[in-house]
Amino acid sequence: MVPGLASRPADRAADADALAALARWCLRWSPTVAVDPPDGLFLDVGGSAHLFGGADRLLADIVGRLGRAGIAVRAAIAPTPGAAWAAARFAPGPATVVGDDIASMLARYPVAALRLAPEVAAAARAMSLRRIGDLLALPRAGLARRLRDGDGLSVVVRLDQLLGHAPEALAAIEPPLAHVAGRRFAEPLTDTPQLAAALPGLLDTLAGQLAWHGLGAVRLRLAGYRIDGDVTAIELRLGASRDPALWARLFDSRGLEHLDLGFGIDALALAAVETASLAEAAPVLSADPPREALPELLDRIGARLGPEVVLTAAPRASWLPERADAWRPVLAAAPHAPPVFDRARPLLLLDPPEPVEAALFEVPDGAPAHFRWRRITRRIRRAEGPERLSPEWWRGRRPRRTRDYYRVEDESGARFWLFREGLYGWEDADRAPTWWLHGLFA
Amino acid sequence: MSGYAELGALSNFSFLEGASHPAQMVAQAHSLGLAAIGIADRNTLAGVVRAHVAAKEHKLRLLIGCRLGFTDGTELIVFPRDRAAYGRLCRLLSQGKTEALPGATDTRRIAKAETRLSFEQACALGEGLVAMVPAPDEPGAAFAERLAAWQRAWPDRLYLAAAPLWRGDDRARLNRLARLGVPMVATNAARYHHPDQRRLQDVLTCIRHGVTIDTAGYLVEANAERYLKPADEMARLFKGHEDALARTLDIVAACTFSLNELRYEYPDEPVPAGWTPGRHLVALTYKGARERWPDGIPAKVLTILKTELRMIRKLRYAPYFITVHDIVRWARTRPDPILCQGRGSSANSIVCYCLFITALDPMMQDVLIERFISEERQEPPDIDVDFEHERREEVMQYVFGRYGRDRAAIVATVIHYRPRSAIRDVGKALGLTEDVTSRLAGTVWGSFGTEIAEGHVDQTGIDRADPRLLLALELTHQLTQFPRHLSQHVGGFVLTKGPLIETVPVGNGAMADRTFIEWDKDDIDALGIMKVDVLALGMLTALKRGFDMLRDTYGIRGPANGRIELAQVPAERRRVYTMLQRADSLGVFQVESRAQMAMLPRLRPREFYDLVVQVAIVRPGPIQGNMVHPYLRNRLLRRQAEARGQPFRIEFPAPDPVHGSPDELRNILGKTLGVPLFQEQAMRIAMDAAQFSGAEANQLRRAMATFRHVGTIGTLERRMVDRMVARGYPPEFAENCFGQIKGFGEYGFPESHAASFAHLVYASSWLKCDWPDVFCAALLNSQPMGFYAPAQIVRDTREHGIEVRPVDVAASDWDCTLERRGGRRRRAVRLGLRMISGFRRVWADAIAEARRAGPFVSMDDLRRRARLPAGALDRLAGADALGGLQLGRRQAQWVAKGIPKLAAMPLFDFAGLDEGDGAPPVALPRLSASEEVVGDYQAIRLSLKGHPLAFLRDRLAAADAVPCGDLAGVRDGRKVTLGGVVLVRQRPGTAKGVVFLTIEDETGTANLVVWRTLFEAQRAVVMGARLVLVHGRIQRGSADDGSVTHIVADRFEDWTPLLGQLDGRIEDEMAGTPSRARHPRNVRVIPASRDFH
Repeated sequence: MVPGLASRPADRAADADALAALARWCLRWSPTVAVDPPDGLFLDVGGSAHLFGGADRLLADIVGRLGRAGIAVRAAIAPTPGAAWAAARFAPGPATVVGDDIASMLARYPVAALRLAPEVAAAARAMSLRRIGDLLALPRAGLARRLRDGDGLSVVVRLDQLLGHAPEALAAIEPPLAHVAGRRFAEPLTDTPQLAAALPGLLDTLAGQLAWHGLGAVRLRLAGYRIDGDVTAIELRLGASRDPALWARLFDSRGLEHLDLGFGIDALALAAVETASLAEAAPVLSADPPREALPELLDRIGARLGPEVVLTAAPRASWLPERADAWRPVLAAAPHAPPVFDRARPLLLLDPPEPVEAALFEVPDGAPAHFRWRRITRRIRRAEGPERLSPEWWRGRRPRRTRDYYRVEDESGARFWLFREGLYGWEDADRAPTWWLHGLFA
Repeated sequence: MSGYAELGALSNFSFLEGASHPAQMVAQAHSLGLAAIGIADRNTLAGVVRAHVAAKEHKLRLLIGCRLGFTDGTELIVFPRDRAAYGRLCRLLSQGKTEALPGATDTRRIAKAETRLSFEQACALGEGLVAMVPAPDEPGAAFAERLAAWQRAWPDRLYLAAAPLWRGDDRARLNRLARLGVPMVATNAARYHHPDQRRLQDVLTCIRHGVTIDTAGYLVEANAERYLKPADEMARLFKGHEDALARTLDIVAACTFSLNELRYEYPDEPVPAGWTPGRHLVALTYKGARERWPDGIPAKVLTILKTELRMIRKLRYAPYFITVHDIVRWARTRPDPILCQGRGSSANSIVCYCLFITALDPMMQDVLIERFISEERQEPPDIDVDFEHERREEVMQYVFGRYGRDRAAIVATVIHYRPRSAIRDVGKALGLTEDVTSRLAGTVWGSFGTEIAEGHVDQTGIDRADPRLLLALELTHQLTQFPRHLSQHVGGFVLTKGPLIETVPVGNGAMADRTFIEWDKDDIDALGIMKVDVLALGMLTALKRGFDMLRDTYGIRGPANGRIELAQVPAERRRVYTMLQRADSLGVFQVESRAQMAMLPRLRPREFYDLVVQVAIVRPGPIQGNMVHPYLRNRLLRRQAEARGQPFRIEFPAPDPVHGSPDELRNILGKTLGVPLFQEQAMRIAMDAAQFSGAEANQLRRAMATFRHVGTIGTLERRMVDRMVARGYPPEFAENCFGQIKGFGEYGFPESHAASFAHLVYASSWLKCDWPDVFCAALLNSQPMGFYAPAQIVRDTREHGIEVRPVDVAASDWDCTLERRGGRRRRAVRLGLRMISGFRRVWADAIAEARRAGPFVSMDDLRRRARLPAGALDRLAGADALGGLQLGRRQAQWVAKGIPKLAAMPLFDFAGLDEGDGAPPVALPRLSASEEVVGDYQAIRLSLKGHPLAFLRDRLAAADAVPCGDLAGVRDGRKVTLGGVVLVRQRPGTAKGVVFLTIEDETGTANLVVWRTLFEAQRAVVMGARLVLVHGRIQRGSADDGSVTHIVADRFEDWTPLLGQLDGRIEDEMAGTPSRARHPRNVRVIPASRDFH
């Protein structure tokens, strides 16, 4: 409908993540921040507004800072969450609702400002009740009977929440983590060595907690609480583990100096933000020092270089031999069952295939009698084929012609995987087919 | 004859597997010089008639076969040797499609398109079926064992069908297969006719598995080898197995069956024992004739009647007429008769009139040039019978009951991929995102659009340089017209004397109780099998209701139990024609559309035959063939000549006198003033003026019907022009003649159909003209039907001086009724409860029943006495239907919402307790007038209180918009601005991309013409807006054209959001509407427009 309009598919998960990140950012204005999906945040500024010079200045600060960060924001401050929600959405601009007479201020607002379930809003519409004021004039019992959602939450509750006649709890972010080790310091820590000295204790404590629960950490977060009220943190992502020594090495290689201590931190918390179950390792009886296990090695490399760059080969369902495997991050979730494939493939695949000169073959699809590869001519004693593989037309890349593969054996008993690219007859008639060696059998 | 026949081929009737049409497979096999082709689709014979027709055309041997897929996953390809074996194959497939497997635990009803078969079942019916077992990729010991067992069990010859796999080990594998001890047959198991189709087949595979091409992996084939290969290539591939090739020819020689052998026999139920169909028909016809002409059959009628009966006897069509008569007689003799009317080439015969199949007196009308069955054309007779649309099901059940399900079944409709569905499926398979494919799909007008034009793609804002997108468009183009699945035809019945399931497989339909055959109308036609169309027509329902109302309300009685029938409509009333000449035809059958209304004042119908022409002329055929203007011009000339009192005569070119009568064209075209308007005339010109044989004429008719045979029509053109010239016609006249015939294309309208339709046009016009109150109520009670919504019907009725009263529980029944109106002759229409969206008939009947005991005094009284659930009260309140209880809409809504949703507790009723909570509070805000109107529209899709646009008049006036009703005063060519809600959008295929919009405001309607360039530029508004402001120029037809006014649009503005303000929603007045505010389109204020293509 609109030419030139760029469109991207919606990514709700990313939206939710972004909102959560924004919520953390908003902790600067209030310790109590609640996420109101899909696009709202509640800040309890009851105790903090005066720190910013009053409600109006605070509101201006919020709108200004978020605006400079490129976030279009509608904000309002009101005595109740409900009133703030309504004013943020339906007031003409940033609004501060003060005083006790919320009712008269919000009476003009549409019923939609009450945060109603769709069916309740529809019922209100069906009775032609449009504004909050329309509802306030009506008997409460009658309203409660008519306007309630499937869970029994009636419009009267919403009205009471709006007016402050009923309490409304905000679900603040950063709920206490189950697996966290913390320590407060009488004297603020101001440099990295101090920090490094304090860390092992936390690591041991957390590892012990996890062992008790049969868990391993997948994500570790080390947070320092600065005396200026800010929080500084670094994170590690690993395969499930609970080895304090390994963690220490990983934090070390990640670099504790990345924690910005500012004027010092007075508390340190180590949290296993994400965990996975990890069975108790069998004790090692061997006298030799245990060799580092592969998962731990991968963790270590991943921590240093980033998890995206540590790759492993995995099968991929493609008829083209050179596309039949793919590299994927080793720490990523393993692909579901690998594709079943039962055709003979050489142990060694040449990448790219090497050109050969083939001679004495039967048109259209016979194997050659001999071929020359790396300056050596080989006489073919036995051949099987062709196996015919056509290009992946949907990718629009090479190869663009069909291949006929042959398993051949020369007089010395060596086996090769030859192919001819191009079909005689209808495929790309003006370019003669060409011969290639693609692999060697054992 | 070459040494190979491909016998393992599939067509695209193996849905989502075969990637070529049956005709393509046959044509390719022919051009490769194959000895024959055997098409065996998976568990179906749906594509065989198409293959058969193509094979006949190419003179190629075709083996009809089927690839049976058993429930255990094994397969068997079978070819019938002869007619009897073919019958068993059909029976076997029908079993698999309608009956649970014998002894199986799974006894659920077989779903549509499902087949459940076992090898044992196939063995039981396998006599005369040559079988081939498809070799698996890895023929292991288990397979060898099964193969041996099957060979012992199978009643006829059994082969092993081997196809190369190109996995590298074909030679070794073929050697192993050849040693299994069952004679091996060479095949390439062709899935498509040419290797280029591989991409399409891969896409079909993806659609079938619901994967994208990038993740399809090993699901798609590794190469493009499953195409039809020539004999020498197959010989090379099967080198050393020459016998495997030779066996294909053995099978071809053994299976001599051809669909030509299907001999059709009529059922003989309706013929009394001891009578022949011919004698019975004669008796029935004369009995009917005496009823039609109680004072004696006129001699002229008798002569024609005898000719007709003679011809019927000669062609042995008597059983067909008797069969149709039997169905019609049953419908007419119900206690409450079902109104029906026949149409079709055979329907306008005196025989059909005497059999009461039609009500149109063919003698009086003297309409038909080629009135009857064409002997030379060898067509089966064709009568479609329309029944009242709400009662057709009864007729269908009668047919099933009378002939039994093994002998009566409904014809299939092959559902083809349309661009819209094709782009969705292809897009998904190629991994395009949903929003891209829906935007592409959205550019196709209606689901019947034929292509996705490139310009439209640009409009979607999608990057056309994207190679994936180009691929998708290309493959969409290829997939369009592929069969997608079978569905049942609306009412085409096939009836047979012997078991139908031995002629064609019959499968379960989606509806319980429905079975349908695997062939569609064209297939049936191609094989010359008789079918009867039992169709549904809304106007017949409306007329029946109107006639009943005339009897019950006004006491007008007809002869049949006091019932009025179509035949009793008084003929040729002048005021009926006067009304139609004014284009005052809203609600009338057929001639109510915009284009028809525009034609009425130009054509000025004044007798019945003019209506026949009127129905046929506003069709793509005559319009594309440029026949409209010459015809209208000749009418004008005739009018002028008559006014001067001069005779009017058209000069017709004539053949050389040695070749024929100078009047041969006058006889064909005289009735239509020298211009061919009907399909029959086109055929007749070909046969008389160009001396086409019956077979050639048939070819021409088919070429006209499916205009895709571009090549054929060119040959026919040369042949026809040459022959006409040879017979002495001027060459340019001959070419012109053919040009006109060609113009009929797909849409030529047969005169026989037009005459039947014209009869309904006249009958409905008469009702509208003489009994507008009855007409309105009858139309409203038959909704949905017709071109206009109830709002326009009601408006038109009120403009004709009839009072329409609101829905009210104190007076309304389910249906709209007529009420006395203080001494006036015509009554008032009381809207029925059926007008309320979502209201149920049982509720309405309960209200009417309870009201008999006395008026309702309160909502609670109503609820209790009529036992209405809360939902019913809610809807009554929303429709403002409680005015009789002195409850306004909002008060009623408040009270209704207060009643618990759960069913009423009888205990409360006995205790006389009120379940509600008393009278509505006084604080309820008053509704504004616009809120009332919008509320009406939302509940009953119309309002008697006003028009939504009246409330926007100030805004419209500020934009200099003129009310539609004032257009009459605006001079031709002047610029005007109008605002209105969009009622109808149309883009006729004939109009070269022009779109017609009908908009309405509170004063009237206006017709807009949107030229292609504007449409392309403002597509979004033209197609999507509910409320538009349009700037344009007024264009008035010239005097001879009548006074039809159009607005040629220059620019549109989308005013849809304003509609949202009408129902008092107030988000908009708050600055900065919240981002999630719903688009007004989602909140229904005005019902959606009706879009026609």
